[in-house]
Amino acid sequence: MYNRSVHQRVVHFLRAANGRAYPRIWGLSREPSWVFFDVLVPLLNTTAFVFLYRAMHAPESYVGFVVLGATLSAYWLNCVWMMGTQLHWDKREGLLELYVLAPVSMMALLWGMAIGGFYQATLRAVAIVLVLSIAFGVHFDLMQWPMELAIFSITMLALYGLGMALSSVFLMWGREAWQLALALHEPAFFLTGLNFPLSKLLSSLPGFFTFISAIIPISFGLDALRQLMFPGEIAGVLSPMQEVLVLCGLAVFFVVLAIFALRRMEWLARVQARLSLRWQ
Amino acid sequence: MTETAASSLALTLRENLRTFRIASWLGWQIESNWADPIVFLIFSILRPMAAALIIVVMYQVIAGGVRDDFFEYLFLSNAFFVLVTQALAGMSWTIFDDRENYKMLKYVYTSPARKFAYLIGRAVGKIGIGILTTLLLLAVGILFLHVRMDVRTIEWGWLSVYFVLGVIILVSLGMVLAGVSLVIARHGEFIGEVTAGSLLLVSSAYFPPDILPIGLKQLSLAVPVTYWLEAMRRSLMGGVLTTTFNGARVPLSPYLAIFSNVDLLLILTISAVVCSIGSYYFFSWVEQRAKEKGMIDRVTGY
Repeated sequence: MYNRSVHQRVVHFLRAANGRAYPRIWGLSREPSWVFFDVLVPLLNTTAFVFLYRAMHAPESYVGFVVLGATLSAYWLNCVWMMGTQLHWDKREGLLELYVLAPVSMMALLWGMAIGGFYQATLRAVAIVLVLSIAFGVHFDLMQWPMELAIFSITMLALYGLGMALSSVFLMWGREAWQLALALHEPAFFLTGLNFPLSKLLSSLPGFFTFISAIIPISFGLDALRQLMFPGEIAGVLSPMQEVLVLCGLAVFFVVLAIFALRRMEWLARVQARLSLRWQ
Repeated sequence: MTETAASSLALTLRENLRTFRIASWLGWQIESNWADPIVFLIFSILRPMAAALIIVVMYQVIAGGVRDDFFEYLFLSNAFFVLVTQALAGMSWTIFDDRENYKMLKYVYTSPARKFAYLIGRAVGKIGIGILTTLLLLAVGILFLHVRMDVRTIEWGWLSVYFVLGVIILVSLGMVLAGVSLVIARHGEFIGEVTAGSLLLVSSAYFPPDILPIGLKQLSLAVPVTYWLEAMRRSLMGGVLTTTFNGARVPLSPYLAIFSNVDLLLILTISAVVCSIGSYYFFSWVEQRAKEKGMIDRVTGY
């Protein structure tokens, strides 16, 4: 029996992840129109929300809240569509069978998807934040940038961990996957306080919804970033440090969940012959 | 000769109606049969309901306990904007779905189905869901959010006429987007969302056009959807929505308040006629281009 060393396994894993990330990263430069479409929709929607706040004579910091929310929404949408539904799409396109046949770990493919997806979402987020900050004169306080960077990184780790867990669940579904992905748009935007301070929402929602909100990493990530980038303008749900601790817990939980969920769902998909089932 | 022409017209009409009926059934099945009716209903209203809650919370956060007509402006516009999104995104998605996903567009074209009637029929399911969602949002607004809508003051006549004209305009605009989707290789699935997003900004759905910068304001006043939303708000509330300024009641949107109901009717009627005829010819033209370039059965893998 052929046994590989740990070093060989790691190299193999990284090569597989790199191979899956490659088309996402280089595909953007080969077809820049993706960026145009990815940026235009959130720009238009966010601009509408900015004008809504202006029509209500809201404090100018709310414009900043909306812009920061739109920036993080790029990562959420990427997580849902480019992570969650990806294995489902691959199944429909006939690629999933090839992944399973290849001598690579599915987790490596998920990490590759996550790295490539993060790169795509970052391009989109940078464009959104630049355009809207200049257009509406938003000023972000970057005095605590190491902390802000740390919060952002942990939020992303937890978020893409969730994306990996979702992708294995979506693997089992047919057309419901599409509907579920759509249902993760506005309801998640609402529960994460993308367009308003999270504390205002959670103070008026029943406990169940608070729990749902808290397990979406964007909620506390955004709340902590707002507290640091707009100091004195917003009352957070928890202090930034407490929110970081929750995010660390979520990151570990979702990555571990993804590992187990992928194994379980892949096995179930094999047993129920769903790996190559299309259009159901 | 006249008898032959009449018979031919009747046959065409019958063929169109048959295609429309079957496409409507097909569209409804595709939209709804992935889940049992309760789950389907929940998923159908989840997004629009959450979108409505977002703007309700945004309003409450800023206004606190104070309520004026702006809340009704916001809530009603949002409820009817659901139909805009469903019609525009739904019809362009139909092309993408049939061509790329189910890979059946080429079979529709090789059948005797009338293509224009087919596309409208396929969109019926989405528009039906849109109408249902709008009604549910209005009911939720009245029952739980205290939207001040009085059944006795609703101008039912205007409401019916405006509504029908609006649906004709939206379906026509959706048909134009479906035509564009037919001849572009990529991003066809995004066109409806992009256009609906643009209209969210320029149709004054969330705010009066008066607050927009001058260029966007002119654009807003050139878009039929702006007038349709104003017409729906006005007929449901029994008049122009107002706010208090310096102790006096003034229209929320002085720009839109200068149009009487008859003006709105005229604008919407002309828009409906121009959009429906224009979309028919536009779609016929792009359809011909798609056939010439071999695009009907193209699969881009996007």
